[in-house]
Amino acid sequence: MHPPTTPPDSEQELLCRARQLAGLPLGTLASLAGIKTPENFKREKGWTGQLIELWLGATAGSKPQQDFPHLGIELKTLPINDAGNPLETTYVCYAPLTNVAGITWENSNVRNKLSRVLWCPVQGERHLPPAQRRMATPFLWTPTGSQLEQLRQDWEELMDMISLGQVEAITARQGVALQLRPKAADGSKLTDAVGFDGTSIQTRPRGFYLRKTFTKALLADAFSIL
Amino acid sequence: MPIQILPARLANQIAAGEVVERPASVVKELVENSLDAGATQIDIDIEKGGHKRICIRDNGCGIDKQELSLALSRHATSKIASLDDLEAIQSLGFRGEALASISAVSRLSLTSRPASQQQAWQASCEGRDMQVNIKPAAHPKGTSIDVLDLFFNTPGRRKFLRTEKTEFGHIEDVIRRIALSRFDVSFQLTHNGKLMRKYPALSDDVGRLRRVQAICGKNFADAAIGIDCDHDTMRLHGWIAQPEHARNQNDLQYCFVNGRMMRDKLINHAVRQAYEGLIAQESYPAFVLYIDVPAEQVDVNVHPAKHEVRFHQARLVHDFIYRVLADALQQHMSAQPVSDALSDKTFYSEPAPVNHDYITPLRRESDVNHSPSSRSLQTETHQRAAAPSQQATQRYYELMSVREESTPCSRFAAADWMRISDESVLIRLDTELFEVPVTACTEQMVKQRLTQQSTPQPLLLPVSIQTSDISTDTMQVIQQQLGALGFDLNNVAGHLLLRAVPAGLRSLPWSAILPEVLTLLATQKLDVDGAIAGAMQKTVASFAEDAIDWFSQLDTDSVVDLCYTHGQRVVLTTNPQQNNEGRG
Repeated sequence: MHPPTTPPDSEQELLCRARQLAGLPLGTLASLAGIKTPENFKREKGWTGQLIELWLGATAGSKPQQDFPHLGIELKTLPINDAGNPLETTYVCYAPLTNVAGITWENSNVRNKLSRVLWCPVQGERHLPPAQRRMATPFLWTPTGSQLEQLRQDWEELMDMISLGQVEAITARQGVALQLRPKAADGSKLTDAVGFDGTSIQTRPRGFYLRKTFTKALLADAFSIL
Repeated sequence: MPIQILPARLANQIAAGEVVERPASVVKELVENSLDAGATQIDIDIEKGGHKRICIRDNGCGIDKQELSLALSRHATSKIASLDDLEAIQSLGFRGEALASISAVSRLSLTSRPASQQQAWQASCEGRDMQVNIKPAAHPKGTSIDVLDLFFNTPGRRKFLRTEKTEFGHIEDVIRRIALSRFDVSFQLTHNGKLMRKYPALSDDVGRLRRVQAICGKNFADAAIGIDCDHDTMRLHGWIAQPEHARNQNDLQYCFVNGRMMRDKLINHAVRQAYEGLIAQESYPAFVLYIDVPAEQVDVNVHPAKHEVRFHQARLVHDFIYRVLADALQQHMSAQPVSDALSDKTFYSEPAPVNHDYITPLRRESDVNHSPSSRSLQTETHQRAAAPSQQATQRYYELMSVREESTPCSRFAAADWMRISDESVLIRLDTELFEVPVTACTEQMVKQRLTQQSTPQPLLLPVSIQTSDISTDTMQVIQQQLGALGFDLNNVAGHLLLRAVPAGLRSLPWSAILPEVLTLLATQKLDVDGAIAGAMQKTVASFAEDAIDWFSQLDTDSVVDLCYTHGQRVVLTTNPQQNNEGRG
């Protein structure tokens, strides 16, 4: 087995490639690709995602567009525990804090990124060293009407607050499916945002995240209806 | 104190607490009434800063004699009649509270003559029930309202009144705001008999700017940037000051929504945001802005004094205001060559590139001397397989019971099963009892599910196991045997992986039983259902405890088959009490 050298030509090929990885430990995938496996993920955040991208032939990097732009598919790794439940919330994309005028749900990054997702669940319990964590079975997902509606409501509520200068008042408790949280390696990074009186303020960069309850429901749907 | 209905005056005094804060609020409410009455000339006479007297005279439509007494009652208005009207308010007032509230805290007299009446009538009210008296009076067409001795009967409120000068300042401010909202009406304000402000009615743009100049000052009017922009059903027009004319106080900020003067946070926010980067942090932009939106898109029934509104599409309105103003300022700045760089930078800068430097790029193996040990990996998976978690087993039963469609058979309910030992269960079929081995039951269950739900279904986490003690040839046979039933068991990159199983068996604890299933298939040449049953019995410690729940999902035919093929008939020889236990 070797990592592919070209991006997948079709959705089917992508899914095929992904399914070939199901069940294999990350250590095996890494050594087959000639990549070093870290002892832990303290300094190598995003390693798992990058390794899977490599094996699927994605053009690496987390740009605003999808991981497979020509297929319109976004790749999301999802750490799960032994019982098959998500361990963490899922990062979707950076939240725009300035120049937000005119962004609608339909043309938003969140909507675009989540229009079609290849979910790659991966064992993520902390007691497992990275090399021993295994890929679970990947699956393709398109939000249902009610999931989209839920995401849209959350997004609009959060974006209203951002554009009306209440970004500092947003807590992770807001939003049923989608939440807004600081996104940075540490708390010292700051970015521009709109303050409560319309002036410019400095705040920590924020990202949109899918709640665990939402991804848990996705897993349940995918593995009992298939 | 007993519960009682408040006297009318007291109730109105309570309501007045919200609406009538100071003389300026009286002026605002009464002038708005005049505007709603269609007046084109409004005179405001103030004595002693409004402490002593506030008199508003207009040439509006007036009030019929029959309606005069109603006009002073609370919740009486001609402005709306139904809920539909409330949801699309066209007039400035609508609550029907102003006159009643004001007359509850002052000596108020209302004199009016509509065009249809030959003579004017004057109404005033007194006493705790606010009885209205009406008497004839002389008055030109229109209405006069005379408010004397504001707060004479509410000493608490009176204490909050400031000096005459301050209170008159507030009144002037109200008049300025209202004058900016209606250029077609002339206003005249006198204080202690002295003419203070006069704004003649105007119709053309030049005239309007003159009134703006009179109110906002020459600096603002001379250098203001005119705004007029339509978008869908919204319109934003007015004037904004050039950035260099920003002020140190927020005293020159006039904003009107559908002609209603407003101090709205959302609007101020959008305006300030448009100026961001162009003016100093502590300074305030000056503006006179009019926002017109369809009446049904705003809710003015938020605050009794109507300083605030709620837009149904708040962000849309906010972004509209922000964009129009930002564009106008950008155009203005680019017309000035000196400031070009600044404006470009401020308005059309892309968001800063996202910094991902804390994600370390993948490193090639060659730069390190560490590689994952395959030995330790195998040990780990083996351990995992040998020691199934209690939780996993339990989960599997939960899934089984939830997802199972109940068999349409009332004869064999759960009560008909009883565990009698680790190895066997007792089944009652009508009046007969059978002792059946647990393995046989499991086998029957697996068989039933294999036939009923045989479509392969992927496991969320494929099971990976060590293959050392089974020869490659035997393993190939087993793989074929399982493959034919809908299992996906394959060797991938040195790992034997079970990735999919027949749907009906999806929730078995595969990581726990798979090694044993393979051993049983390899050594004892059992059927797949037999091997699974054997492995379940052997590996899953807690299995026997919940087995009954699982078995009770068997369909009738399977149970009959089970009893007669694998069961041993039991003849009861003891007392009936034991039999009852068997049923329970």
